Amino acid sequence: MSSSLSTLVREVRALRAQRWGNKMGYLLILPAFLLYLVFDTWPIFRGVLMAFQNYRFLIPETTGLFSSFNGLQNYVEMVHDARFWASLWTSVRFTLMLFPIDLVLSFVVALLIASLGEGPLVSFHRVAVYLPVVLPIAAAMLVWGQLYDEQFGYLNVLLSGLLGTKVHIRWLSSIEWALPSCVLASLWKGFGYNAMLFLIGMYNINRELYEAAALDGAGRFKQMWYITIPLLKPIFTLVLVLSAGIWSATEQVMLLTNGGPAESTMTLGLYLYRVAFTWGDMRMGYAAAMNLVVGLISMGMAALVFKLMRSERA
Amino acid sequence: MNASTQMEIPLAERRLEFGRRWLLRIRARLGRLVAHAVMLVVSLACLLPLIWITSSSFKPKQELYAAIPSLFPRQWTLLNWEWCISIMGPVLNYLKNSCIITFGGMGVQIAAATLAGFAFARLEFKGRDLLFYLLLGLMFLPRAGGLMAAYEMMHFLHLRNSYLGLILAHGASLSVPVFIMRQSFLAIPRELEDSAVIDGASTLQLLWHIALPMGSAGVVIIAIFAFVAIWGDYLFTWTMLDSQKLYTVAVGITSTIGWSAEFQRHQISTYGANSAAYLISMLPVIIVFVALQRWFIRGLTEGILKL
Repeated sequence: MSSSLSTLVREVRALRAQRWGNKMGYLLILPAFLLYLVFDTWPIFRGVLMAFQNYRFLIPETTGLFSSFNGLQNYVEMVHDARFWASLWTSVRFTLMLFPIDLVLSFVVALLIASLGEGPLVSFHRVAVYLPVVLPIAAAMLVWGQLYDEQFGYLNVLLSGLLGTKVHIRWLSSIEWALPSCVLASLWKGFGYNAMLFLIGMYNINRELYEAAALDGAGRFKQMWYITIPLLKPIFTLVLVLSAGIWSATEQVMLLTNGGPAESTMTLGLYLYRVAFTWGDMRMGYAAAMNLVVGLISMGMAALVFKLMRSERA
Repeated sequence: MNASTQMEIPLAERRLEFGRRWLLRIRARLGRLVAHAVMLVVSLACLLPLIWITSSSFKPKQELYAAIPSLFPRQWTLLNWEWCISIMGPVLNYLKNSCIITFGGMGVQIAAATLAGFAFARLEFKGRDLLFYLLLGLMFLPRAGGLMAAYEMMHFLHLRNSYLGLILAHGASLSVPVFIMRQSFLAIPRELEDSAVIDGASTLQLLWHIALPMGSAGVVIIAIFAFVAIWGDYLFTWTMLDSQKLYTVAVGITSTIGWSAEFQRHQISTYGANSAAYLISMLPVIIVFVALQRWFIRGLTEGILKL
């Protein structure tokens, strides 16, 4: 009885292999591949090509696939472009301010939430922390724009109430505070994502490890140091890789300060965008060249991070 | 340990042990209390902007422009909301556009990812694994071309200032969705499919009647993440659109300049109307997230653990 069933199954599988051979599979993956290659992959290669052209969108003669190549001209110009360096430096400052705080904050928050176990209040915390992440970025930044408003915004009022003294920080209109304001808004918007990643990692660590450590006399801090952090290494790596986009930070500055008082918050992403879409002839070639440079730097940094992670494991 | 050895421990030591354990319990409870308190502060800080914008949208003109604004309105008014929801305002149009583009994009992603995921999971064809890893691997290339090349291409295809263009473009972020669908389909027990094949099912019937219902969790996960990403997208959508009539709500709220003419007539302040508009753009996402939070967590979990 069972042998005839298994022969039947084998026959069915053979039939399937025959019948569902090659063609159907290709047909089914076609839409996905088509969409992806056209909208996601092609722009990457086109962008690299464009980075070596003197491509200006508003001047049709320069906008062919192969027209107006100008060798390394774009890069020479880039080196001499003071605004490029200024915006690069702004981006670096932005990332240096945002990233460490984001990392530490999300890790600590994840630790706290994980330590609270389960319950309706914990759900509330998870929702509250991740909610800023899902909000539309324009709305979120504009809301912060309102909070930051010197005359009618709530932030100064809140701080005055909390600290007891009259606080009147010119968040978005003073050069010292503009970039930190953008950093704060971006922190609020993004840390929940990393926190959630860490949290999920922590939820998946075997409880028994902690119990064993506690039996051996390890306090909470030692447990965290020797169990939690090493086991979360892959998530740390993931967070680092996903955070590569912080660099350009186009939307936040665009919506909050639009380059800021005297271009003090003009990050590289925003500068790029203005060159390509807003100013003058829409010089997409030059912008693409800058984008390429930024991309190479990001790749380099990612490779460095990978190497560091790997050598630590060994 | 028998009774005699137990009696040998001096009473003082036993009392000390009790005391120490009691202290540890107190410290643990205090620790939990502190954790709760800190998290409460953090959560409220996270929600502060939302609380502010909600209360702003209900405030009358005088309160919005008061020298010292309070967190909650002293006088509640529905004027701002009336204006936003009325047919005079462009907000309804923006909402319509958002729905078209978002649901269209979601549909495209789900359809393409389901088909491809099923093929990668259950069908055998030459080069299948290579193609799958190609699709996945391309995700890691740095976006060097970025917006510029995409702009040129959409312009070339006459897709730039259109619903279809945006739907297709948003529907094309397919690396993760295909991965998720393939995972869900791989998890379906083969016996179900075998029995269906014995009953004479074709590939498509198999997909529709068995694989899809069993893999519906994956579909939900793709749907909610796509919804959040497309609804809230600003830069891409704004760059590709020229005409204000096509703006989504997430984009339209940034260009509220033409509104002020209406305001004099209706005693509304720009602040108030803006606040209501911002909130309208955020509400669908908030509702979806709060109602379906477990799915978000599940989606992230499956993504991380399987990667």
